[in-house]
Amino acid sequence: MAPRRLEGKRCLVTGGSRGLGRALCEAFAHHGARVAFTYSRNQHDADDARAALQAAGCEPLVFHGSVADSAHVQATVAALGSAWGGIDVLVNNAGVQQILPIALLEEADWDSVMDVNVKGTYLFSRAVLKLMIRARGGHILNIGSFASERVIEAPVHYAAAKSALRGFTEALAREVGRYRIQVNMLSPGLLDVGLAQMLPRHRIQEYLAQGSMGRLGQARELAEIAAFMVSDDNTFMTAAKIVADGGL
Amino acid sequence: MTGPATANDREQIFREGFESYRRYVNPLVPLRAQLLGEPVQVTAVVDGQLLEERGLYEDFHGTQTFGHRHPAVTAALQAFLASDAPNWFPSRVSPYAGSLARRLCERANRSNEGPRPAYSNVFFANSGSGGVEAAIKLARAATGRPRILALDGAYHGTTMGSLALMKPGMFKDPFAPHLPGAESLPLNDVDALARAFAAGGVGAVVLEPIQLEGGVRTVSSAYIEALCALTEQHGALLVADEIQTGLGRTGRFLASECWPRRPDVVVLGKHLGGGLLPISAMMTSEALFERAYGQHYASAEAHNTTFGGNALVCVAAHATLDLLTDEVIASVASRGAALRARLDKQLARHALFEDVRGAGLLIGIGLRASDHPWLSFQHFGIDSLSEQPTTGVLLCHRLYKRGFYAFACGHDWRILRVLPRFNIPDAVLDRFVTTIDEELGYLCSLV
Repeated sequence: MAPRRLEGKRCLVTGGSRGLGRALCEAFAHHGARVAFTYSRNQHDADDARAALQAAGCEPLVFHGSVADSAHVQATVAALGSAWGGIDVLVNNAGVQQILPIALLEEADWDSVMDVNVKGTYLFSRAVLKLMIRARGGHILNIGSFASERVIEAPVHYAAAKSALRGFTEALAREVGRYRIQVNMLSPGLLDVGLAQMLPRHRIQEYLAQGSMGRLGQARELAEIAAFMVSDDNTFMTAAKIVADGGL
Repeated sequence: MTGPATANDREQIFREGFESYRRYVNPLVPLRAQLLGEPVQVTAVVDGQLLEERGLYEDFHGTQTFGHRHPAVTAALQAFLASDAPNWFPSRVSPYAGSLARRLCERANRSNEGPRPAYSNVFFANSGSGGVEAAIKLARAATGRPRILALDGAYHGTTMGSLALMKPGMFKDPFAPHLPGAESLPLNDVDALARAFAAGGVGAVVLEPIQLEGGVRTVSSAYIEALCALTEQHGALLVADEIQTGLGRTGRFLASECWPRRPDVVVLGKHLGGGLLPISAMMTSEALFERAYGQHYASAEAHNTTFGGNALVCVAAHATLDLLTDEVIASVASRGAALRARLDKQLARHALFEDVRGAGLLIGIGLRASDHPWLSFQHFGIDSLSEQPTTGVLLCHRLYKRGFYAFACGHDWRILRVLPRFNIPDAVLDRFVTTIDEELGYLCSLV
């Protein structure tokens, strides 16, 4: 029986209705956390995720809106402050992927990816930190990508956004470490959810051939790593970047 | 996790059906659509257009000649389903098929220039390919000859018989060996045609009056004249595949109705079912039917299909023909000519523009291949397509962002195929001309 690493922890996951975000919510609930998640588009996915968490004995708080919308961010954090009295864990997971070669990458595409992946992380982190700093503790985990860690074919705006999160993570960790707030980054490789479903088979085969483990990652594997990173078991790691990509 | 959706659970079908398509039908089609930015998650029809989360989309594929879910076709189907009439007749003697066959023949025997009787027998199938199969078998059975000639660049369908007439390439090559006796001739090469007949044994020549997937290529008048003469002289069947060109699309009921000789066989399909139901028709003469299948009772159904011409699809076809008035067909001719002229004038300034081609509202926009490496399939990481031009596909990608479903021709990706619905509002056409002008300009700015 795995330890319940997050017993009673108040965890907020952005983009938690599907893919890795949903796996994070389910893993955190499994570890005893109280869970809230946001979603921006598909209410059915959100309903499914909520039902799955309820079935696991967790009553999640669910918020609809874009992470790039500061009003939504403020309202979400305020609601959680009222409901829970604080937030112990924030996972900045919400992100958009868009496969476009540079020639076709328009300013609006660039702005959209930067808004969700970078600005959204900034907005939620800033809003949550107000509570965490007052409480003198907490974890912020930013979800990166192997696209910013390895020399691979990746859309440049997506890779740039994920690279920006690395700098954001390190600088923020430095700034808030004095409050015992740990800020880390988890960069998954290709998983069985998300980007892999947008790639042609030959690209996936290339990945499998290059990876030491010769397989795609599973969202629940990453969620378990994340659960450790945001738990009290993680007592010293901050400003860290963990790459879990099967050994590319 | 919920179980599979049931028939009328629209909410669940739209909720999980798109993903289920990827998992259980074909993973590559949604992948391609996603890479191209093609609107996939369409969930409703509004005034003939498709509603997706980004807005309304005008569909230029050509299957929805009167727009998606035309109210008259829908109402006719609803009325039939509300009645107690049988849909399928075990004897195969279906009054719905009979009445539709008569109507099709009578309409096809009338050209823009006046009466030209030719057709008195119809076989109903469920797809265009099925109609072409029927034509190939009719030719073999009626003439006893093995050779079926087609033209280079053809697209007649993907069943094994129709596929044998296809241009070599991805649609055809994996399925060899192909039907013996099927051969391709170069388009518009009269000498090659004459040599093919001189070798003997030709049962039929199958051709599209305008090759749509081949790049909206029109068969020349000289070639048609030679074809009419040679098929008659040698007793071979002339088969016009009018799946794309028929039913008013070119400004005539049949594109072939003005040929020197009416084709012995015409195949109709695509929007015959009003865009709602699949039905195709192979039209020929009673005499040819007799020659092929009239020897005895058993041979009468030597070629058959179980659900071809069931009542429901025939009702859809009747309702479609109700809409397809002479006035509508005349407007297809005039509006098509005007649109082609506008496009030609508007797009001429772009370096990537080549020409506008076609007839009526069957339009091809010819594009030049870009020579800039960053617009190549190789740069996009798709080495297997490195010989293909990207311009047509990229223009589709741009049009998807602006509310238009357009497509590149299957055999020639330099050509954008544009088949507007016959009742498309002028304002939508105006917007299309403006949009394609802007988007082609954008692509030109990248090279």
